[in-house]
Amino acid sequence: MKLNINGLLWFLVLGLYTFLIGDLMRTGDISLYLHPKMLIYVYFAFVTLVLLTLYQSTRIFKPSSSAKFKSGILIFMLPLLLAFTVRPEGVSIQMAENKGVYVVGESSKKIDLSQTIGTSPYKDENAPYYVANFQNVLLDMYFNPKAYEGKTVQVMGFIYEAPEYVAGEFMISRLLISCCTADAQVAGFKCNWDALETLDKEKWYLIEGKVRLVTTYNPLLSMDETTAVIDVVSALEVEEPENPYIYP
Amino acid sequence: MSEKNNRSSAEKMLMWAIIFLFLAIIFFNILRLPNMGFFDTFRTKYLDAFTVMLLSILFEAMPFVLIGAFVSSLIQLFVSETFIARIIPQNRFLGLLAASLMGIIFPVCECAIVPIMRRLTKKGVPLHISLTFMLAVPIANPVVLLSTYYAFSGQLEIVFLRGFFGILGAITIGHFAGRMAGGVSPLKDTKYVGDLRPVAPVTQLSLQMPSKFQKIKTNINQIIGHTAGEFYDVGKFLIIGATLSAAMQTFVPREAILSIGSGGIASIIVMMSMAFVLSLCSEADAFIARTFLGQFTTGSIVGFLIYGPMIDIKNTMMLSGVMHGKFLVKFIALITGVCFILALLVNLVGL
Repeated sequence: MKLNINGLLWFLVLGLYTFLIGDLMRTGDISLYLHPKMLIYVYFAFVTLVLLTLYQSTRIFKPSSSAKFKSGILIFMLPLLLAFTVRPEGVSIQMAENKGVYVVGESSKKIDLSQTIGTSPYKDENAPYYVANFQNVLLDMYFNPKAYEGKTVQVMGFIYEAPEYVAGEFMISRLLISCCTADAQVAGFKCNWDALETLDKEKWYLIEGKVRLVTTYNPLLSMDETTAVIDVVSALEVEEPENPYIYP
Repeated sequence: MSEKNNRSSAEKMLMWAIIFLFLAIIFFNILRLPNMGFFDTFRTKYLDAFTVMLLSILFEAMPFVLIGAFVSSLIQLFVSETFIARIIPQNRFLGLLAASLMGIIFPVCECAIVPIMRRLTKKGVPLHISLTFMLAVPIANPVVLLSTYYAFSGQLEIVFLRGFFGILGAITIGHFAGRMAGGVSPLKDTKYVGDLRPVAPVTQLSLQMPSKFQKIKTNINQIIGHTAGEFYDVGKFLIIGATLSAAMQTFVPREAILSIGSGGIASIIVMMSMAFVLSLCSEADAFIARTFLGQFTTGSIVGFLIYGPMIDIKNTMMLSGVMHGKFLVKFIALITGVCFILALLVNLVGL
């Protein structure tokens, strides 16, 4: 029996990919890379890779038609090396910024109000409303800002300052993952606070503030737009949640 | 003779060194041994970002490349050339139209489509039809159009524009690319290298098999072997493409592309460049396109939504493993030209 080097290497590469994906699924760290809806495809990939690895294991000692080293296998090694050595902890805000910012309180195309999600969540007019479902309230406030006028809300997220913001303006935001982390975007509520400088940009905060409506003219749509801004009154430093992303 | 031996033994040594190093590093990390901070020296914000980006593109695309490889091997085994010749419409336009609508019954995205396109062409599907098929399916399919509908909060006109111009563009490009090739196949001959592929051709094997059980066993073996080979062929280019795209996204700030401008023509250039660089899955790209609504012209958004699924960095690399370079360059130029004109059309009509 003669060892087939290409066969062995390809076996190792397939085996390590199988291990990597299996390990990420076991620990749940796969959610650092993908939207949960993609998990079913990852399961499929895992099963297929197991089959391919098993198949390849029978070919390690099969004589090869050419002894030439297949350099393509080296290409497959690069992501494995990075995955096992770098062990990233997730997408950073800087990366997401390169993708696009989705924000309540920025000009965007007018959307039919009949598309709004649910009605205003308030029961008690004066109690502050804690935004538990970041995504839904964000969309609701975007489509239906009037329902929130004058209300006090509490939102948790990280501080994001767009380059064009003036002093005191910021966004309390999360990262929005549509499919994989490569498409992460910053999504958040536009806020205003004089004491913004006292906050640490790397940390997470629970902010409380009152919703105010502003109407601005959007030249591209040649019409006025009403958007919501939160006038912040307090900010409390909090732990970053287990899964920092939101998924549409 | 001895020189050749020397060289090959040196090559072997180098190879073993690489393998050894590779395994050592990986097992070090799998076992969670302390690595004395050696790798931490290289850990920077950029390397982290680059790795997340690369791996997430890869994990996202890999299942679809595997699906594509699997479907391609099913076609290889079970679909005969005569069957294909029989079902393809004789009329050129009808053939193109049928190919462009295949996505409705066959909804796959652009990572899975490349191996399938190659297999179909090898099986005798005319080039203009297989190319139209490849370009249209990742756009005009229910999954992608639904996600577009969702991303644009029910703005049906965007969904309609994407589907309609996607199909129109794919047919136009397929037609002209077919003419451009002029009867000569632009596809590379893939010799089944090494042991990644089954050795004997299918027909021979199926003739020899007497028992039904053995036939099934051989078929399964063939499918797995074929899928592995296809995964190797397309996967290596997928990794190169994902690496390039991750690098661009890590090191080129979005402002650099956005600074081109937001006018009628400039916005189209910006959005099409974004589509090419970002290499997003056609299922997800609408969510990114949405963030540009209101900042850029509708035509440029449509340009982004039809150009991205047809061609991007990742797909260019995958196609480079399949097509001859000269044809590929012309093909990409054709795609770019047609998508640009369509996007411009949307702006001119003022939708």
